[in-house]
Amino acid sequence: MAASESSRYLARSLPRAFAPSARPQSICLRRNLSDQASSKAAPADLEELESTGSLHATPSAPDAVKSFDPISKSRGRKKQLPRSRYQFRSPKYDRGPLHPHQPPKPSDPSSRLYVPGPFSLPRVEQTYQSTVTSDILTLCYVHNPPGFKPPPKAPRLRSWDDSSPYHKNRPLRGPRGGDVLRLLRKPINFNNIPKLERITIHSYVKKAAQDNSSWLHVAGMAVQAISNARVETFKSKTSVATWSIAPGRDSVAVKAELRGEDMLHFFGKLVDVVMPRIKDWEGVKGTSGDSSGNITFGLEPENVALFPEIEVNYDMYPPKMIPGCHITIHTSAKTDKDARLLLSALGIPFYGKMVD
Amino acid sequence: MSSGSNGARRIASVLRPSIAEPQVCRSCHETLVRRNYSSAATQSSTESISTATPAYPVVKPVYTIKAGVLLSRPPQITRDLTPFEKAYYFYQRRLNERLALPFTKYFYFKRGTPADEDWKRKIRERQTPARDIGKYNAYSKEAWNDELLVGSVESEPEHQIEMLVQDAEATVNATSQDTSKKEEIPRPFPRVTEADKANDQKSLNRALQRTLYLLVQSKEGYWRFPNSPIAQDETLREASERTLAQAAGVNMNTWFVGFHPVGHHIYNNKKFGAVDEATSTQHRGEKTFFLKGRIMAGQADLTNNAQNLKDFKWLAREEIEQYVPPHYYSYIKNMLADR
Amino acid sequence: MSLNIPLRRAVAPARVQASTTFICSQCRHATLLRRPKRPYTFTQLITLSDGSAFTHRTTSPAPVYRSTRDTRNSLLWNPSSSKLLNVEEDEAGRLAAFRAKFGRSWDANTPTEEELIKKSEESGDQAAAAAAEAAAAEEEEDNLLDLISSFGQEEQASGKKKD
Repeated sequence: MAASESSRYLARSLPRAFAPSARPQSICLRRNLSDQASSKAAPADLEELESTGSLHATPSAPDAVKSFDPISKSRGRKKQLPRSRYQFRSPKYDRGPLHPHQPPKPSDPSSRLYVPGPFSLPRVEQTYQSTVTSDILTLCYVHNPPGFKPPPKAPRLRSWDDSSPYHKNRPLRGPRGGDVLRLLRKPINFNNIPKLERITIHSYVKKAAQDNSSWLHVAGMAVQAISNARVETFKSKTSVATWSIAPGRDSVAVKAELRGEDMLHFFGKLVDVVMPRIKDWEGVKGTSGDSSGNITFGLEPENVALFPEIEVNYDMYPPKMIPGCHITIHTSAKTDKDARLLLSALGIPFYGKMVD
Repeated sequence: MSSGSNGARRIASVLRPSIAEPQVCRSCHETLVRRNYSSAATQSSTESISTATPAYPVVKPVYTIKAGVLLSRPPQITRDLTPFEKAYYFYQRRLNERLALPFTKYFYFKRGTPADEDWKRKIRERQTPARDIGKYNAYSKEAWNDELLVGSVESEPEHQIEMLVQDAEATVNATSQDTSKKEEIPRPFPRVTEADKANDQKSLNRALQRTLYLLVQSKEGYWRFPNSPIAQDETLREASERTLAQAAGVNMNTWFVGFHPVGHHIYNNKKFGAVDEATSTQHRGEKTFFLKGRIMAGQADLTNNAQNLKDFKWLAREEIEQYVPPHYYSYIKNMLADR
Repeated sequence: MSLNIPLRRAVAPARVQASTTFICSQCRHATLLRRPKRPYTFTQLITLSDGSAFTHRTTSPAPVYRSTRDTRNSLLWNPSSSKLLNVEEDEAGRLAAFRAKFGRSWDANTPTEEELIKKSEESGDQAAAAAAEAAAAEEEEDNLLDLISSFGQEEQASGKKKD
């Protein structure tokens, strides 16, 4: 019995050991997606499929192209088309899911809520895709040898030690040294490379409460000009007696939130045009950040005036009323260190002591 | 009977992939031992068995470990848009013309100034504040006619940039006092350079939209990435930096990305070498590990290189495929960027 | 529709009466679908100081923006560029006269031969820029225009990027 068992084991392990470790070079039956780039002949079954999409349609006849004139055709029409044929207006109100007249989805261009875009392929996005992602992936790689088991970590929430009968059924205790549970940082792999998520431009105008609302209007115009987005106004939540600000009474702040294309264009403009022109600027402080991957820095009023959008009609803004602002860059990184890696790869300099 | 079974079990335990075997490199093995005390204990026991009575000589395959450099120049300009992207962006821009708030002219141009007059004249001409969407009035009766006809150039980015520059020139000429002189605003540089036209594959100014990689040619005529054997007590990063300096000179400003290789290449000799009796090893071939580098400035220079190289080229991904042997390409293709 | 009618009937008498009874029937008011307000945006061509250009969307009506100071000629983004380091200006020739008299031993950093070589090779690469630059400032691709030949600076630059 023992002999048969060990010989079976030998039979299983011997061929594995004596096979040459190199891959057989002659034939490779595996087929990856990346193989398609190489010059492998496509199987015969795929040949009857259309190789080009509908975009590469055959060009229409030149006389048909010349004769196609939609404007003159519509002008020459004697009778008007029925309205339903050419125009759909979305209902002005959403009356609930049971109403027979439903507005179209917000992604439908005929919807009232439709926001067109994108209008371009931002270059920051292209740099990120072509250069930054692969570099971050290489930089953040951590090698774990085969057979490696990570050492067990203590649970994030501690349990009670049951020294008292009142500990029964209590929720778990928070971490030591404070109640804040930090974000979990997972190892960075191909599908959680940090990226820009949104940028918030926030400007607190204390003169709006002291003086009059024109400060807030100017701040709103300036922030809208530099950000391509409408601003929201906010009332003060706290009371600042020295500035005579009472909570809930005065609108004191404007904020614009940028995502997608607007965000990327703003970021590129900020890094390439505005930041180098700031006088005696060393960079963003290394201590900045909320330790969950969002970096904030401030711009003084004279720095906000360096944006090309404000420069073009600087005279139109009342003197000394251009606001300063705080710019928060929200990234999908879970720690400030990763966020700083991403932002410095995209061109924001950091200085001083780095705090993670 | 019992001795035979013992012997078989012993051979199997020697051959079983354990972490003491060369499948795990030395530094990894150290980390494993440091982190896992239990595994260290088992490993020492197996070693003692194998050294006690080897059943018959076990030949260890030995490879030359080499450090390679994947030196790349990242894309310098944005890529060309596909026809679909051009059409889509153009359509969205005309749609935006109807849906965005109207342009507040009085905020940018004071009434009665030359700039204001110029703006009014241009608006009359093109009927819209934007310069890049052609002649299109979003508030007219014919605003529905927002699609381009076949053969129109308005959606081409080159045409849009040309319109922007022409508009700036017209503004400068209309508002300047001196009417005799025509101001000329420089156009952006062409996206296709001289090196592209001449197909100068040694130039770094070629194929600005693509990632270019440095390939070197050995005296025998083989194209490959620069590589050299790792010396004693040298890390992979140090070895690859040395390799680059030896192969392509120090006249480059480079940055190595991290300390980990991004790819590897295994070369097996056609005939295995003789078995070294003393260490019971057999030389099988070489393994090359490629570190990624970026070139910021400079150019490769093969004069007085220490590696018997005679030529170099900067090539994009598809061009590399034509130069290197297929076996080599099958190893390296996944570490090359698509763009 | 059939849902709404009984609700309205229930509401109507309640309004006539005093507000003593609170009618707790389910109702759903219509929500106004507000059109999102977005400022008008133009496409603008930004030309950087080294001649590279890119377009972006902006609220400014100026068609072309030429920047004089940007990442391409700022020392903070090009720490290894010797062109941007403060170079002594010796228009009157007084420094040269001083050196002729007392030698170069008083200079803080004597220019090396490598820098001179670099100057000569610089001219060949100047034509390299295109309609849209797609490179991060991390890559400092305008450094392609000038050769950095001292090997020590390379380590310094790479050490900075690792952070």
